[in-house]
This record gives sequence, structure tokens and C-alpha cells, in this order.
Amino acid sequence: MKKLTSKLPCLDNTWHKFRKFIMIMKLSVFVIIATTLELFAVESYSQSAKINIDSERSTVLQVLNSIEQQSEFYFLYSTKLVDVEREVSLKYTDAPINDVLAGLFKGTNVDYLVLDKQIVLSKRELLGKSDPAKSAQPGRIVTGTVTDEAGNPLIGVSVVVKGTSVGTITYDDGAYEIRVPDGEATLVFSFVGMTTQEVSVGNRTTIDISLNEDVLALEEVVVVGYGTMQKKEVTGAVATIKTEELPRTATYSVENMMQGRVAGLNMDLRSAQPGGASNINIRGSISPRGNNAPLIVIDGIPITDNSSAEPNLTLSGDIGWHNAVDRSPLSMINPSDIVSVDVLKDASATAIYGSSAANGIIMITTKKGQAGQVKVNYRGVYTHQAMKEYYPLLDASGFMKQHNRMAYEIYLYDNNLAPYGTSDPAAAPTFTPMYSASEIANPAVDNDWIDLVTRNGFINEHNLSLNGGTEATRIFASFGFMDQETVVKDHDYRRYTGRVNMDQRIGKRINLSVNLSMSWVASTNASYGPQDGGIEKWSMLMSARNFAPVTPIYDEDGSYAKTYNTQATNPVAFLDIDDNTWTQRFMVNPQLDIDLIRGLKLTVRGGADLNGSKRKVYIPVAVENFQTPDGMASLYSSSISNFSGEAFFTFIKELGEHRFNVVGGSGMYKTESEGFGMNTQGFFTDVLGYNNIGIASEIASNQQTSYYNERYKLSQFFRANYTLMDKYTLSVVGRRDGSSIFSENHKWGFFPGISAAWRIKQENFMSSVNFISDLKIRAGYGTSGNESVLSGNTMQLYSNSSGLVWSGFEYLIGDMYYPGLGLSQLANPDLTWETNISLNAGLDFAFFLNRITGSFDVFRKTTKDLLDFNSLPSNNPVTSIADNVGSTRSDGFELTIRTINVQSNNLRWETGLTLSHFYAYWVERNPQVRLADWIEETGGMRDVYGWQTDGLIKTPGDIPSYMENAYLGNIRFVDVNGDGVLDELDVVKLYNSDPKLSFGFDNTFSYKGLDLNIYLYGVIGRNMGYGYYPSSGSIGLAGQPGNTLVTIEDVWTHDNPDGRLPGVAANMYQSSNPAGSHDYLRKDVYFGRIKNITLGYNISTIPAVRRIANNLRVFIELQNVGLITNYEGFDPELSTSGAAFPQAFSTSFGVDVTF
Amino acid sequence: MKTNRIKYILILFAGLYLSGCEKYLEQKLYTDLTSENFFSTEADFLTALVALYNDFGPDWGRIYNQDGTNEWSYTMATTDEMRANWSSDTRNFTWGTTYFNGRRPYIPRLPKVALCTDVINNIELSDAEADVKARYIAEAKVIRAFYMYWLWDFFGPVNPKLDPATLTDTTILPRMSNADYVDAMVEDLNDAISTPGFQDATNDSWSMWGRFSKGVARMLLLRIYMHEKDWANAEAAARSIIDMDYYSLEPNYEDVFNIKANKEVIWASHGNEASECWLPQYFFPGGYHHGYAGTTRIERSAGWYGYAMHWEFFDKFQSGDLRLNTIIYEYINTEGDTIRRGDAAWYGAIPLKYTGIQGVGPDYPIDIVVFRYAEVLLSLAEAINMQRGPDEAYEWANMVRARADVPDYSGMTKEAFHDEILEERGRELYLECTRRADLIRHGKFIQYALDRGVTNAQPHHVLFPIPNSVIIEGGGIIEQNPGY
Repeated sequence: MKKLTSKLPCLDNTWHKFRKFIMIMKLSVFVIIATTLELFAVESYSQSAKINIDSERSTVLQVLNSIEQQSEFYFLYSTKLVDVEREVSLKYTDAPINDVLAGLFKGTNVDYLVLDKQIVLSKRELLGKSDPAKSAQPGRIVTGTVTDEAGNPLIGVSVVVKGTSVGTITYDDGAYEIRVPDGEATLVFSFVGMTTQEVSVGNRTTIDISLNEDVLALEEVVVVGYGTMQKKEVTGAVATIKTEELPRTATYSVENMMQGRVAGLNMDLRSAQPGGASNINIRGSISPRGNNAPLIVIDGIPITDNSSAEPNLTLSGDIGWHNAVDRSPLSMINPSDIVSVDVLKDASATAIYGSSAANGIIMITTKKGQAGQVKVNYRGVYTHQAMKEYYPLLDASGFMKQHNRMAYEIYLYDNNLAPYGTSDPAAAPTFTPMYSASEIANPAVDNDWIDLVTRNGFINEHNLSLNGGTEATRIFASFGFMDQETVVKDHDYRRYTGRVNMDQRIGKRINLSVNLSMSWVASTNASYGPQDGGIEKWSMLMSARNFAPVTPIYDEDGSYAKTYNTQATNPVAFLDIDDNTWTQRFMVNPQLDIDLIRGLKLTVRGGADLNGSKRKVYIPVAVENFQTPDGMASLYSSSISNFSGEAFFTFIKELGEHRFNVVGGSGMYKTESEGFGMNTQGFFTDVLGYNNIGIASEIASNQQTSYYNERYKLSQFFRANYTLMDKYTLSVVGRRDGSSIFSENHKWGFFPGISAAWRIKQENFMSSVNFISDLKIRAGYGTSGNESVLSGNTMQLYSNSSGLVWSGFEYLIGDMYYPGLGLSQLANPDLTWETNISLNAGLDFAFFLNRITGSFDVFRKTTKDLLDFNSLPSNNPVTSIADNVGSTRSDGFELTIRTINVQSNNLRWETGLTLSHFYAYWVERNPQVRLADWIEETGGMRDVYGWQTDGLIKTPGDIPSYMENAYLGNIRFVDVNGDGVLDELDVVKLYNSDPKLSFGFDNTFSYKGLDLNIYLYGVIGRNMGYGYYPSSGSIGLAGQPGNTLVTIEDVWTHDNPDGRLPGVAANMYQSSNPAGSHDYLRKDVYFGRIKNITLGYNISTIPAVRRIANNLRVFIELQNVGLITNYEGFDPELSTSGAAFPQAFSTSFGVDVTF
Repeated sequence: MKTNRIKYILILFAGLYLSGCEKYLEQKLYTDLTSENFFSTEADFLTALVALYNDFGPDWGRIYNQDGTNEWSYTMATTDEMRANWSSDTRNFTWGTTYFNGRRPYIPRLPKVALCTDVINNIELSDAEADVKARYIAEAKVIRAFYMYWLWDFFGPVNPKLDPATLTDTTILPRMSNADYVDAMVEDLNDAISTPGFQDATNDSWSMWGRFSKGVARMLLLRIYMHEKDWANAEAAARSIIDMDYYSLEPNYEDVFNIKANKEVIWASHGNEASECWLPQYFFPGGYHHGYAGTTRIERSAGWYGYAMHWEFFDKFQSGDLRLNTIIYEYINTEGDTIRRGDAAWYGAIPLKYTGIQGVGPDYPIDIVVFRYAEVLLSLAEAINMQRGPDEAYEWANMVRARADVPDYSGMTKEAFHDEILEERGRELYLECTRRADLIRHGKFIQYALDRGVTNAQPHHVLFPIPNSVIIEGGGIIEQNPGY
């Protein structure tokens, strides 16, 4: 039980709030329940709950505590109005609450109002049970209605005349009636979880008011490892996203939901494909060889292996796009099922997950059923997608013109003619342009190949959920459907998700909950992806980028036309390839909570997460793929399964001013992954596709693979929180992990964390500082492990791939292509996980009656025992061995601020801002690896070194003495030390490619039922290269030109002296640039992406609509609206270069209705 | 009541800790083997040998692959035989001490020698029958000598690990002396040749085609002695192959390359649809449509034109030489134009050699011929001439010339014959990775480079530099080749 002292010291009549610890619900859900009471009160908890009281000379307070302990009731009252120190003696067995309360307050002037689980205690006359209007007191009557932001009436709101003990509460439709003394009077409206508002009465007799949710909401709970904590007691760096607080829009993925909303959570979208994966890291990635992705915990179950099960085309080395599907494993989760995402950022909080926690934790909590009438929610969104601008390519005329121009320039250079040399033009072969002026003026064919393989896309999304039940049985069930055709043709994604979260109370002490979810994704995969190999291995988008616009789609015989270089596959032919993936994920988490004795609870839970996927690919003969001209079929299947069992005790006890919250337990985890694949070639017909690979004739080309891995982990963990006087909190966490992937000499690891918080505002000396509503400082220290580096690195292996040569160890003998096994890895029995040590200090604050709230954290995250591969002598059979050497660090800060800029009865404007910065650098390098002289020992992890540049050499006069053999059009490097030679002494640190600052910026305006949300995020100070380099070699290749970017026009040539991009002549100095890099056209880039603009209207503010639906909202959303940036590339956010998946501009229309 | 309940719970909880869970923490491998469960049966030995053989296949990254970073290209594209259109470093002798850092053919071939040592040792230690062990050890020793030969040919004597006790040592070994290095190779090869169960040849047992044999071991001995100009031993090695009375010249030159496992081939880098050979793909120009090798029409898709036969080398063939029928010197492009010598960007002829290729490509199931009987005959002729003059040597060389329908050699001085045999080897063995060693042996490697206008060529270029990273790793113990 918690007893708060005055949260708002300016009010002298304060409601003390009591809430049962586990009775923690979403405020808005509470509001909805409250509003439904008027209709469904008959079915309320108050009638089903049975209370047992056996007290001898106990205080009223103790009785109230007892009721809270054994039921879900909680009390709201003011100690000024209710004497809780009065002693009573009562005895009730299985009695209804009304009987108990009647007995408790018999003979007093205190009465009660049971509002579902909330019970308001006050003076009888204030509860409206007597008519204040008729009493013979002086003053006048003021009436009105109190609602929430959405217009729903609030029941049980305290309405008090400021400076007096005169007060009432709202009930029935949120209405109140109060007698206000004559003269100046101010009404104070306060309610659990809402911002308290003061309204001057003036001459008014009717005051309607809407209360806003208290954004700081220190009563809120956050999900931490193995339990929850009240936010006010949190000592570590934890950020929470409540989905209720996000604009209710078209959100298709969990990543999408998180992006920019948590300071310090860095996310790089790797691919814009549906469900596309992101590089996520918390506070900077500092493990050079390990995984930097945070641990995902879903409903309390840590997912040991959260990689996507979708197989890549590993056997099909012949084709170049074998990594084309890059899907996030979180894409299998329906974002609509999520109630909150809690991000644990520092090790004082994450240490409870021990060896897997080094990269932070993302805890995803799904919705739970709430007792009461069944509520049905439907959300439907239709989204239209149009392709954003893609790489701008030359059209047919431009292509021919630029070919002639570049081919001539290359001819001049190759034949050493002016301006590149002094050869006699008469002696050189004659140059004949490939295209005539008339061909250029009137191209016979003008194909926009990108356009031919892209389209307008759409997303159709339907979500239906049920929520309800009795006190004993509560259910949340949902069904989600999403169908997407992306802007890239032949790349469709269809997802079905289903979830049933059930809670069943068994007797008084046992609660069983089962969360069950399944999802099924069927997708077709267009062959796009980064280039892997030469022209013959191009993917569809690579091919579309390079195919000559003057090439027709089909030849006269109907087959796909070839462009000049006949090895490239026709882009449109790619659309004939069948590449389908089916993935399902099934998760079941049963959990048993048993109340043992007061305050002590045992939780036993299990988890099974089964993730399976199959992929089938067929490349028809008709595609005329250069590598597999006779057709190719591949079948793959793979699965990842995570099993877990955990048992732990939770002990929560309050002794006077001391509060304890202790968790301790153990767990066992098993992860399995397995898969197989088959690749065949040689099909006499395309009719059967991949469905009968038995007819493949090139048996010798058959390839097959299979694998199985498993690992176990055993853990013991604890967390102890102690809070004194609601001011001082100390938290100690720890975990001991043992794992089968750990090496012989390090089978067990222990990971502790300690942190503390001080709520300064609770101190007496702060009580008079009115502008500060709350202030808390936190500090913590902890360690955690990165075990991802270990899997497979600790054992001596004879395996069928060496890592030394291009593929495996196979060799052909006769007709048999034998697999070979060779020594591929040496054991290091001392190898251990990377240890992450984090220090964190933070400040949580609220100013001006919570109008400004937020937190600020500074951190230092150090990784030691970095995994590295130490080289052994180069004549050893295996020339490196995994070892723990070196240390890296990330320092940074994070700031989260929410402000309520405007708050009046009708208009409200709220702003949220997250800012974060980190700098990752080396603390200690591997002494065995020799660093180049120019590299700073403790430099940034992503420092780039190279030569500085100084424009292009455009005239012979621009040639510096130290580049005497340079050609015109070459980049001019800077001889930094002025010694007249370009060498390694001129290498300088050019930049660090980590962004300086990342931000998210959110603005919400609401006016009556209308709401408008504008959200953008971005980075400042990320050094990036020029992103639009055209290929003069491709367009200018004699006889075989390939298309390139329109920026080819900006390439320096003898007839384009103002060209900004390097010319065709080889730069022999760059080829001896010791560091390889230079800074030509690189710059510090900033960007802000306007991610969405959402306009919604809550129609249910209209009373007539409210009779049909509790809540009905319609919205229009524009996504990916624009980019504010100084970057000259394609998209600063897509980390995939080359043939990146195109971004789409989306327009969504949606409806969200609750019955 | 309450105490009881707590007791039960605590027992349950303690159970979770104490239920012997530690056994789960043992690491189990399901997809890979360890030294504990490998090397016990003959099938294991073969599987281990396959991994050693791996670098001798035609595929990507292996010795006889054409991608420009393997032994194959350095043996020819540094000579008058072939032009590396892609690689100016190979063409212009601009490789330096860092050139081979992390690259083939030094890294990762040198560890392969140690892997052979590991396999030989593990087979020796196993419980298999003695004759089975001896057979596989003999074969592994030939593989080891072959790796050592390539390293030696390119870099001089290096520091391979031949003692199993040193395999995981971090001690830096100095380079061996040339004599010790040669002795080590010769010893391995002689061990193999004297092992009774080890196969003489595999041409007649198709299921073993691709594996090494005593024939391969003798051929390596011949190469080593030729390299050392140890003419007497070279002659003996050549005669030991002839005395096997197994190998013979194919009547038709083209058949040597188009018929697999014919009796002229002692060993070839064996390919099929699974183990693809891309060799022709590297020679055809971008716009190629069709052309003629002799009278054989070769129509196929465009290639990469990574290499071309220097026109000056093409001119070494006299007209009527049947071997010219394996070379394409003009072609029709996709536009229908005929591309002839002298046209821009037509750097040289297509040294096709494998005229039996079927289909448009890009890859073909051909064997890349590496060791064959004609080389034995020409080497024998050279070795005899150097010892006793040409009279006794003509017959061996003329066997090869007769097949090509070119006139017999006769009436030459020792020096003239010596010079002429070099050019005859060029014509006969072009595209078979012999040219660099031949030119170096004849002392013409650098001179020929200077003659082609490679002004960078200097005497020390007869050896490639030890990668700088290895020198640094050696901390002064590993010496760089002179001149670098």
C-alpha cells in the first residue's frame, strides 16, 4: 500500500490515494471502465467480490488496507474528511463490500460510493446522497460536468473549493453540484492520474471542464525484469512507450512504433520492404564483432534467439541477390496487440538479464483482458503508397547523348590525346560516336526500367479485438490482417495474426494466465538486394538501374530482350521468378501466480516460441538468367525455437516508512535452430515450377545443406528494491548465468547491478518550491554480458567450410563432388563473453504543475574483454584464434521532455522531444593487431582516416607539384604536412561517421474531438559521402553502355569544365592512398524525416454517436511526408546502398471504433 | 498451515536448482565434428583429404581458377604468353611488398601445408589398418608437396610447418634453406612413390579421377628438378614416368583437352556441372557472338575478356601448326561486325584450347589440363640436351612436333636447341601454367618483360615478395626476398 503525501502542495485539501500494488491498470482503460459503469454497474466487481474481515480494535486504516490486500478495491479519501485512525472491531466472512463498509462507517458521518473497484470515502453530505442545494448554507450552487480529453465523463473526480474543506465528487455522467461560498472562489478538480486543474468561478453557475492525463503519472508502472515497478521508484534508465499515448494511426511494425520515441534507442532502417529489418542499438554499438541488438523480452519471456527464421538463399551462390529478404523478427508481432514497450537502457536495470543484456532490453507487453462488459474494438486502415523519388536515371536521349560524350572522353584518355596527353590525334584510331544525332533526337525505344518494375502499392489492415470477462476470467483476444502490395512489383506481404490472452482466477490465491499468439506471413520476394558479384549476378533493381533505356522489353520472337551486355538479366524478366516465403510464429506463455502469504507471491511460467519458415524459389528458363540458364529451383526450411521455464518469488512488504519489493528465482532456457535446403538446376519445363524438383536434370549441380544447433542456459536472478519514506530507493539486481555455449573455463558468470534514487521533491525544504512539481535523481552501476560473440567460437572444429577460401572444402573426384572436412577453428577454453559495465546518472523532473516533464540521463557504457581474433603465425593450419582483448566505450546523454504548451477547455497542444548523443571510442586495442601509424590508439570506433581533398584538377595549372602525373578531372589531394610528397604522413582523421545527435519531435494538437499529430525524427551531424556518384565507366563503355544516374552530366570532361564530379581519368594517387579514404564531397549531414501527419476526429463526442459506439474515431494519415536534409544522396537513412528498396509515400484512411 | 505451504514451495524451488541441470551446460555440436570423433575410418580419411584437395579444383579462389588472384594467372599473365586485361599490376610488374597481404597465393595456401601435416599426423595416430593408413598418408604427402611446390615456385623456400608438434605454436619459424626445402618435397614424393598400395595412375579408374597418384608424384619431382636445373635427376624423373609405360601422346592435339582422363593427361583440375570451370568465360570479349578455332565454329555468349594471348606470342606459331586450330584470332560481334587484329580494344587472340565446349556458357564441365605426357617429353629433351647435347634429345621433342604437323628438329647447336625448346614448350603448353617457370629457368623472364615494354621489370621479380604482413609478424625472423 502506498500513501502519498501531497503531490500538489499548492492545494491544501488533498486526496490521499491508496492503490493496491498489483491493481495497476492503464488509466484510460480505467476511464473506459468507469464510463461503462453507468450502463453496466449491475455486473460490477462490487457484487462478486467477497470480503473477509476479522479485526479486534484495528484502525479504520488497517481495515481499509486489509480490503485492498484481499481484493482489487482501492480507496480514495481525504484524511481531513475521514478519520482513519478511529478504532473499530469487525468480523465479516465472505461478505459483499457494501456490508463491510456499512458496518465500518456505522454511526459516523462518513459515507461511501463504490465505483467499480474504486471506492470514494467522504462526508455523507458531499457524496450527493443528501442534496446540497437544499441545505441551508450560504453561497450559490455551481454545476457542471467533468470529462476526459476524449469527452468521456469522469466519475469520482474530487471538486473542492480552494482553501476550504467544502468539496464533492462527480458521479453519474461526470456531473457535480457544489455550493460555493460567496465572493471570489476557485474550484480545484483532481482525479487519479489526471492533471489537477484550478478554475476561477467568477459569476458562472455552470463550469464544464475536461481533465488531461497526468503525463508524468508517477503512479504509472513500468515493466522491469521479473515484475513491475512504480515509476517514482525506478532507479535506472528506463523509457516507456505506452501505445495508448501514441497517435492511433496506421502502425505496421513495432520498430516503426519505437523509432525516435525513446532517447538513446538508435535505429537504422536497413530495408524499406514490409517488415524490413533495422539495425537497432541502445546507446551506440560498441561491440565490433558481436551482435549489438538489444534483448527482446515478450510478456516476461526473454527470447534468446530472436533472429528471423526466414531462410536466405544460401545455396544459390550463382545468383547475386541471395540475401534479398531482410525481415525483422518483430514483424511477426501485431503492433495493435501491444500495450507498452519498456526500454531498459543501463546495466543497473538490465543486469537481471545477465549474460544476454549487454545491449539493453526491449520489453514488450501485450494487452490483458479487463473485467466488465465485453468491449469490441475494430480498427481498419487503408493505405495508398506511391513511390518516393528513386535514383534518377537517364532517359533514352540522355543515355545516348551521355554515352557518346563519355565514350569520347574515355577515348581521349585511352589514346593519350589532349587534354590527357600529347599524342598525335592523326595517329590514333578514329572515334565514331555510337549514336547518331537523329537517333538521339528520336529514340525508337525509351524504357524507364525502374518504372517498369515498380507500381503504386497499398496496405489493407484490419484489426478486431475483444476485451472483457468477469473478475474470475478475463480475456483479450484479437485478430489482425494485413495485406500489402509494395511499390516494388512482385513483392507482396500478407500477415495474419491472432492472439488470446486469458487470465483465470482459481480460488482466492491463484491466478493462471495464458498468452497465446500465432502469426502467419506469406510473402513474395522480388529479387532485389545489394549487388553480390558482377553484372551476371545483378538483382532486379540493380538490373533496372543499369539496363539501357534504348533496349526494348521483348525481342521480336517474344523472348526477353538483352541489353548490350548480354549477361544482365532483363529487369522485367525478374518478375517471372517465383520466390515465396511462408513464416509462422507461435508463442504460448502460461503463467501461474500463487499468493502464498501476505506479500509473498510465487510465479511459475513457461514459454514456447516456435518460429518456422519455408522458402521456395524458381527461376524459369524463360528468364534467361546468365548463371542458371536452364532453370533453378530452391527449397528451404528453417526454424528457431525458444523454450523457457522460470520460477520466482515476489515479496512486497510495507513496514511503516519502509517498503520492500524483492524478487528472486531461477530459470532454464533452451534454444534450437535447424534447417535444410536443396538447390537444383536443369528444368525442361517451367510448368511445374519449384513443386517438383525431382525433374531437375543437372543432378551434378544439386546442392543440399542442413544444420541443427541447440543451446541451454541456466540462470538464477534476484532484484531487491528498498524505499524509505517515499524518498530514497535502493535497488540491487543480479543474475548468475551458465550456458552451454560458454567455454570450458567460464561456464558461469555473475552480473550485478546497483542503483539508487532520491526524490528530492519529497523533502521538506522543497515543499515551498512551487514551480517544481517533482524532482528525482538517480544513479546506477551494473554489469552485463554480450554472449552473442560466443556461439560457435569456443570449440575446435572440423567443418565443411573453412572461411579461408570462397566456399566449402569440397572437391570433385570422378562424378562425386565430395564434401571435405578440415580443421577450421581452434578451441580457446578461456574465451568468455564481453562484459559491459555501465554507469548512469539521471534526473526526472516535472515543473509548473506537470506542464513540463521529462528526464535527463548521462551514461558511460564500457565493454571489456572484447572478442577479437588474434592472429597466429601465418604458417599455422588455422591462423587466428578467438580471444578476449580490448575495450570500447560509449559516452553520451539523453533528454526526454514533454510539455503542455496550451491547455484550455477546448484546445490543447502538447510537445514531446527526445534528444540523444553518444560517442563510441576505443579504450584499449588488441595489442596483437598492429595499427596503422595514423590511427589514434583511443580514437572513435567509427573514425575514418584518409587524405583531405581540395576540389578537382580542372586545368594544368591546378596540378600540384606533389601530383605531377595527375590527369585533368582527378581529385586534388592536400599535402597536409607540406613536404611535397603525398604519403601516409598526409593521412588525417577525416570524420567520425556516428551521428552527433538523434532526435524525435512530436506535436499533438487537440481541439474538441479533433486531433492533429505531427511527428518527425532525424539526426544531426552524421558524416556521409556523396550519394549520387554516377558510373562514367558504365555509360561510357565502348559498345556496351549501361545506364547511370543523371548526375553523369556533372562529371568533369574537357567540354564540361564546371563539372563537380571526378572525370574519367584514373587517379593513380588515390590508388596508393594508404588509408583508402578521402573526403571529397563528404559532409556533415542532418536530416529530419516528417514521419507522419495524422488528423483524427473523434465522432463519439457527438452524443447521438455515443449511443451506438463508445468511441469512434476516423483519421487520415500521411506517412513519410518528407525529408528536411542537406544530404545529396538517395536517402540518408537507408544503410543499404546500390539497389535499396524504394521508400514509399503513404496516405492512410482509418477508422477506430469501440463498442 | 502457512509454514507447511512455504516448506513445499521452498522444496520445489530448491529442486529447480539442484536437479542436476549442470549436464545441460555441456556444449554439444551437431553440425561439425571435432578431433575426438573424426579420423577413425577410411571414409573419414578420404573426407579429410578432400578438404586438402579443395584448392586444386577449378572453382573460385583455387589454384587453377582464373580470377586473377591465383597461381593460374600469375604463371602466364606475367609472361609473353598472355596479357592480363584486368590487372595492370600483373601486367606491369607493379606488385610490391604489401601486394600479397591477405591475398592468395601466399595466404591462405601456406596454412594448407600445415593442414596436410595435421591430417598426416591424425591418420598416423588413428587405429585404422596399417596399409590403409599408408595409402592415405602417401596421398596426403603428394598434396603437401604440391602446395609446397607452388609456394616455392612463387616465393622461394618459405617456412611451412612439417612437424605436427608445432601446429598450434606461436613461435615464428625462419624460412627454410633452399636445399632443406627441396629435400622435404623430394622426401614426401619419394615416400609416396615407394608406398606399395598408393595408386600408380587414376586415368583408368574414373571413380578416382582427380586424385593424385604416383604419376603425379613423379611429375612433381620432374618439375622440382627442372626448376633446380638438376638435369640428371630431371632426366631420371622423366624416364621414370616413361618407364611406367602407361602414359602416351594422344594422336590428335585437340583431343588432349576434349577427352577426359585420356592417357596423355597425368593430372587435370577436374570439373563438371557441379565443379564448374569458367576458364573460357575469361577469354571471350564483351560483344562476342561467334568465331572459328580452326574450322570449329564457337558460338557463345559474351565473356569477360580478362585475358588475351599477346599477338607476338601468337606469331610464334608457324602457319600450318595444328595447334593453331585451338586459337581464335578474329570473331564476329553481336552487331555482325568482324573484329580483326589491329582493331581497338582487341588486345590479342583467344587462347581457347578447349575447342570441345558446348553451348553458350558461361561455364563448362571441362578439366583444366595441368600435367601431361608432352611436357615430360619436352622436359626430357631439355635435360638431355643440357647434359649431352641435342642429338639424343631430338627424338623426344620431335614426337611432340610431329603431332602438330611441324617439321622435325635436327642439326642444331646445344644453345640453339635450348632456345628453341623454350619456344616449343610455349606453343605446346600454352595455357597450362608453365610459361613463367620456363622463362625463369631459361633466364628470359625479365628480358622478355623489358622487350614488351614492361619498364618496371627488374631481376628480383623472378620471385614474388613475401607479404609484408608476414614480414611484420616475423619480427625479423622471416626474411624478405632480395630486391623487395
